Amino acid sequence: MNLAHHYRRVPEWLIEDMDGDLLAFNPVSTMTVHLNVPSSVVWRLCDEDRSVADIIDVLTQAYPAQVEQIAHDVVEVIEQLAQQALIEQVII
Amino acid sequence: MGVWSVNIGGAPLTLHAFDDESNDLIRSMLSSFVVKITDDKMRANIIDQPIISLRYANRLWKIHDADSNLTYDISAAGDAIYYLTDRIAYHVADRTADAHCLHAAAVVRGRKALLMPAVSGSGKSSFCAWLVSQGYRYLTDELVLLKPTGGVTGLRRPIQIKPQGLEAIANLLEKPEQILAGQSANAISIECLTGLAQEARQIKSEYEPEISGFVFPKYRPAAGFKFTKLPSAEAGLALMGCHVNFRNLENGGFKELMTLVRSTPSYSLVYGGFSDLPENFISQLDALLS
Repeated sequence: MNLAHHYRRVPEWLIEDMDGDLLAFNPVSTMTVHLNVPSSVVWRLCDEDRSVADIIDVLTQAYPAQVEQIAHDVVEVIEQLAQQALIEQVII
Repeated sequence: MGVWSVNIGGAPLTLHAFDDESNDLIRSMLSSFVVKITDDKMRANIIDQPIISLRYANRLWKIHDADSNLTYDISAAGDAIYYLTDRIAYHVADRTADAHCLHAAAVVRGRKALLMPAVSGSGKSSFCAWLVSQGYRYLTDELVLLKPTGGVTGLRRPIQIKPQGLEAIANLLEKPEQILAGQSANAISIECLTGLAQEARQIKSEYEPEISGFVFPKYRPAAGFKFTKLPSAEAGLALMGCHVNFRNLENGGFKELMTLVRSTPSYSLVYGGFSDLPENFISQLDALLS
């Protein structure tokens, strides 16, 4: 994955906070996706202005002891969110 | 010809029965949710409704669903009930726009409803039969209509037990001779299960039960017993997998349904047979409903 890429949340999804986790429902595709807390955090950070590297920076500043793990996990989650069409790449 | 009206969840449809056998089958098996049309005033209200016709000739039941252009020729009465109620459930779900239609069984204690959403083959009908044999009142084994306010109604057809599941509930049957056998499913009336006249176990019409708990059942041979509280996100995800009319609801009814899920206790049940269920399990469920 190119860490310079930017992503944004796809607006069609309806989101419900389920005691910390998120459930996302797309009324067009009728697909429902469960996001656990770590995935929800990454999803919220996909706001178009931040690159993947920026998202990793934000999280490593919050959890400095887990830098390598965070970088790996963020890339994995973003790939999964993009595959599920919860986020999409934007050209800056 | 007998004309019968099905009215569940504000989505009426009409059954046409062309002979005495068909009228008797509808009267004896579906009387909890169909009404025979007997006068012109009632007849005037059935315009533009989907029509399902049933006739019996040459030892075959013929079911025709005009709107879906489907026809079944069936030899066993149990299968006739199975396919007839399947078509009714389809049209109810297809036309209901003021309630969440869930593929689920439901039973009632007092005014509290316990819903058991599950995909086909999960053992929900068998578990529902067991609960009824333990004193719960039967609501449905197939289709629940859940209102945004929490009110619950259901398609109260005879409990449908697949041939391979019949042995598991054999000990529960008070009047096994009343089973309507079929190759797809056996139709088990509430009287057949409890020995009581069907009316004795019906939900009184003056009130509507309210949802008080979700149990997501899963039968697995030799699985033992596992009853686990579900986080609301997992319950919501499982429930959306059993939702059959979200296309009729604004934004799929997602927000409304998740609001109900967050305020309703949800459990996962894995069981390998009724003998695996602990003696105090009914007490646990009663506590859940209270």
